[in-house]
Amino acid sequence: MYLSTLRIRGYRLFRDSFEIGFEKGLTVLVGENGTGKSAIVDALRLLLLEDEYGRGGVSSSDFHRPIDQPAASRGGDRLELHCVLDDLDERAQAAYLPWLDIKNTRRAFLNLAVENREDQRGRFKRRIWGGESATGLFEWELLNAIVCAYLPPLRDANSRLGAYRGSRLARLLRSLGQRGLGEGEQHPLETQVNVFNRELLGDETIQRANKFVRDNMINALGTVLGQDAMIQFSEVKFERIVERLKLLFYPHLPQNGQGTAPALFRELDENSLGYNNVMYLATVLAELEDLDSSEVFVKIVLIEEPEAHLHPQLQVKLLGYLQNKAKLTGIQGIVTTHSPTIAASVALESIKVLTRSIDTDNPVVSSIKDCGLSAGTKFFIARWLDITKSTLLFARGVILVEGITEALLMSEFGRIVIGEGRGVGHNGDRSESLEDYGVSVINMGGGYFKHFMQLFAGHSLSDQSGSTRCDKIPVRCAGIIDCDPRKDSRPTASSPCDCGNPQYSLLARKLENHPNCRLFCNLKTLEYDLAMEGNNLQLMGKVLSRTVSTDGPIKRRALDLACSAWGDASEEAKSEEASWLLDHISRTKGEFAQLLAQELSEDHTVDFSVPGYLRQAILWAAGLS
Amino acid sequence: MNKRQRKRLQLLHKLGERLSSGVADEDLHRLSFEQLQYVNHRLGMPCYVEACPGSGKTEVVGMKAAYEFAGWQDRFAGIAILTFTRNACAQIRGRAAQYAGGVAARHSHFIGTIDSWLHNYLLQPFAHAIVGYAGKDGDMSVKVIENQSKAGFLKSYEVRVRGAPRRRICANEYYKRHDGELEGIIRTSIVSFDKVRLRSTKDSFLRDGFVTYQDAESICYEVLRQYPRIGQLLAQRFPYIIVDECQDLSDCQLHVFCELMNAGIVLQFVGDLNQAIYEFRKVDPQRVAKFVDEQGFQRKTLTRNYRSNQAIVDVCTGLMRSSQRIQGREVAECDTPCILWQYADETFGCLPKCFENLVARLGLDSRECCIVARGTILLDRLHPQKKKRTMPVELFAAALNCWHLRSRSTIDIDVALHSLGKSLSLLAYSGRGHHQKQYCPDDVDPVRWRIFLAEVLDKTVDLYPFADDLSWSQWTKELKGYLEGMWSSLPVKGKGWGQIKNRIRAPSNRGKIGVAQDFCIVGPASSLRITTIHDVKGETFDALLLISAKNKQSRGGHFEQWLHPQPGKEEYRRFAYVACSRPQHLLVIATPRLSEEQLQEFKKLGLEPQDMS
Repeated sequence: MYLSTLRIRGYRLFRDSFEIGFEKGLTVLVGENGTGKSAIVDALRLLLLEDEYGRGGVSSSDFHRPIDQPAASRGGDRLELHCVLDDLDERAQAAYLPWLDIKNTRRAFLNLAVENREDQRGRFKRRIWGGESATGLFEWELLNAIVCAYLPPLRDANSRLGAYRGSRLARLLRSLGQRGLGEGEQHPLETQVNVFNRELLGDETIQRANKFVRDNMINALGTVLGQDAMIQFSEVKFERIVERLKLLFYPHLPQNGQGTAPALFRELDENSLGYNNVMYLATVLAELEDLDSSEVFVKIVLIEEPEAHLHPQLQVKLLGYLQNKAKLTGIQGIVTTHSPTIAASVALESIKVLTRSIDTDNPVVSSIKDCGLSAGTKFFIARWLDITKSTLLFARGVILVEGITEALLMSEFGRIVIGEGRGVGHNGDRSESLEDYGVSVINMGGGYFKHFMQLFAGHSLSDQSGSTRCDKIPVRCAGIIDCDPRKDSRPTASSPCDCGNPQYSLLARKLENHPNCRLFCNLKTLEYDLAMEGNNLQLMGKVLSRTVSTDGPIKRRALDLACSAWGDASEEAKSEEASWLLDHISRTKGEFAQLLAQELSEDHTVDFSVPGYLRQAILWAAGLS
Repeated sequence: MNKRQRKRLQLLHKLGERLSSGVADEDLHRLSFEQLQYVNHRLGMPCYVEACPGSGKTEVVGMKAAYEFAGWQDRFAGIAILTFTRNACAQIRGRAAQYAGGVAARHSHFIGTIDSWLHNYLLQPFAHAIVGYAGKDGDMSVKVIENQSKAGFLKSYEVRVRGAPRRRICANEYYKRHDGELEGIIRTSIVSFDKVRLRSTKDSFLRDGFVTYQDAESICYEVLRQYPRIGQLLAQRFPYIIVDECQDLSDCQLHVFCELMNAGIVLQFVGDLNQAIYEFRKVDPQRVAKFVDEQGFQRKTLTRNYRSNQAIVDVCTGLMRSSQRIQGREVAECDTPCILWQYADETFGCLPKCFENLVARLGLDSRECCIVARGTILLDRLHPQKKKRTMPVELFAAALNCWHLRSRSTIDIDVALHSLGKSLSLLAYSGRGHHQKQYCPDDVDPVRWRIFLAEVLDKTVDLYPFADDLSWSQWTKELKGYLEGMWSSLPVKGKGWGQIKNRIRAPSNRGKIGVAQDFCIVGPASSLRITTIHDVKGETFDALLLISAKNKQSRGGHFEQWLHPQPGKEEYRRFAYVACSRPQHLLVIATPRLSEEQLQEFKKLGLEPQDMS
């Protein structure tokens, strides 16, 4: 049995009904800030009565307030949470009978509705019910049998692991301590402390102190009103004893089966924050794991930003562990993250991408596993979704490029294109770069558009008809593709080549009217097309001259290029030189791009035009066209 | 020591072991052999325990519950112990908690009314799938509507029928039986064309999420029939069910239980067919008897009456013409435990006072005494506060009358708030709102509503007390003036004043009658509880006065109907039986003047004629 779906309405930023599915094992929620990841986690906590970190109740800001309303406005009339529990086994079905879906008894419902109306004590009227009908008995035990633990972001792990009432450690020890004990039976620890306590009290100092107190009481109050007094060692009940316990650490594991000497252990505040976080997570998981599965039907752990304080390798390790744990012990994990490392390291099936909807205010969730990835594509993406590529899961717009040169230059082109646009009519808009628009440039390292674009497509791209609908990440995606005709061809704007890059034309046709995806193609290849544009040959000649160390004919011709004006030159003349230039940078493309980018970034006034296909791609991804 | 005694000791030992924590030895030793045998009866074996009045049925069921709970392991499956009144539930729950300690409070077991069990586990969760209700705001709960309800929205579910005594029939006044036949106030004279319309009206009533209690039962039956999986799961959730007061099971409930048995639930019935008094709800004890026989339940008996003394027990036995010997309580506190009074028209009103004096003379606690009769008309004459009123104006007046009683009890407060709530709800909110919450409108906090009602009652000093010569029509005018002024201060906006002002009318045909007259008591006031036979079922009193109606017009309220019921009216005898088996020490039956023959018959039963004063 696991929590398979959550539906939210009227809660925080979710005005309209929002539905998200969870995996049986691990679910990782990714997405930029403000897309509702924490609100989803808090909604689950509200519904499952998880209140370790306060916030057990509802506050007035939890009710959705449309952004065009003043911040102090009252907010929506009610908030509703509805969750689906799936895969109930026979015993769970009997237990959760009043919660069941009559059409499919393997599934049950749990609901919460809170009215935005405070009573005299400032509490909101809430109603919780199982199944489809709010009327009738609510068996709280059934809700209690869904156990939920929560780990907040940037948690202060060392203080949580300390010795205090209701500490994590005390909770774990208490649940372990109750095992195997009959009703009213004393825990051996309790017995031992009692014995120890008695011995201590025999100590002369304590005896004398005790006598002082007693005598003073009697002297002050007399024998009628006086009270007896006794000194006792602080805690003698098991629950209290375990609250005095705390965790210590030693940075290395013992070697050769020898235990670490107790005196070597250190207080946790000497430990690194990251390691303390892991230790904290370990106690929480231990507590969940230990729960008697005959009394608990669902175990859920909610973790916000587990990457906090952890270096990348440890992040990967930790997530791997969680994923494994979920599989082995049936603990359902729901994790939010901003870490591309984590996004890149977990199984694609686990990832849910949250984005802000373009048309409405409501966030949108996309499930990667439902994005219509064919087996081959899935394998490909899983292999190639490294950290730099996984940023696409956090972006508002994506530009997919084939190689390193585009990746290096795109940010400068973005600045130029967006800057030009601003002059025309974007008054007051201070956004200057692709980053400002949340656009990520992803270097695929090859022409793998079919695979990566599938994530944004919404229907199958490999399928001929393209009619099968599927999930998608609803952000704009622009692909930039080279035409790559025969090496010796010199296509121009007025006579482009007729090779018809088959990969391009097929895909481009499919995406013709696509709401989010576009493919943009050039005449030949990036450098050639750059050189064909405006007066670009001048700057490119300058850059080329700097890559050539020997003073030969190449350098001379490059300097010639740099000294001429190309704005009014004929297409033929330009294509002659562009072709020549391309031939002479083929082995140093990376270096050339690097230097060009540097030139462009150092001097913003330099005369340089971005070719149309790149311009279109940039405007498309930034949502400006 | 004979075999029976030895067996008894063995059972005591066995029970004592399991219940070690909760039960004192003397509690166990008080149990009779029959009682012990039932407590020890295997839960997996269906049985029917025939329990005579006062046999400690509740005690035994409570003990049985405690005994089974104590050995119970599964935290998510349990035993359901079902009965008919909340009162009985509270008693069984109390006993179980007393004997079993904490384990009785485990959620996996259910102790409650049969209705609440069916509603919680079958009706509310699944009814929508049967009736096709689409729900409101994602909530598929159906609303249970009383048969008597006259709420405004019910107008849309009325059918005009031809040839019927009432021309309009509302969907909450009849129901479809589990076999699809119409039942309720429907008479056979209704032509089939009208039946078709009644059916379709019922269907839309159900489809809109409304049900009556009877509809609820047939829907539960349908859930089990159409979704056998739900029955199987219910059988895992509640593998065993004990039904207390099984004689009150309706035909449809029996069908539900039949389905449940088929799904694997084991049933144990406890009850007394002689105390079946719900024929008006289509409950026929013969059907229960047949069910028990057909299902092959093992029969067990509890034949010792711990409540009444032998004289009262003998009257009851004689009344039922039973040959079974029931053993009564040994101690008799009164010299003459069974008395017969004959009243005249002019002394009828004095009955409560005479009875109060009698119990005082005998040193009995008047709070433990009760006066019962069959039929509300008879009772209204003795206790006008309790008279059932339905019109907003009458209800308002009744509320004031109760509220300002000199010796106001919590019951009076309750009646006053309830009446006023109903009155205002009928006018402003089409009678919606739950009757247990003083008809509080949906959007209002129930506490706030009660405070509002109390304020209204406190503020209306001009309307009460009713002057001696004030007629209903005059008072109605005053009330109208008051209501117009306060209408805008209702906690939530209901119907506008313009819409309802014409509905504030004096009770029909009573406009000229004095209001005070309608509320005045015929005889000297008495503090005794005065109520119906049905209301005291299952209860115990020190003394009880059973009043016979003057004539045979009342259905089952006249002594001749008790002694010699006509064929098909055997239930009338059971009315008297239920009433007479309530008191521990003193039973008084009051009849109109008797013929010599009738007098002899009562004497033969064991009643001693005495003067009322």
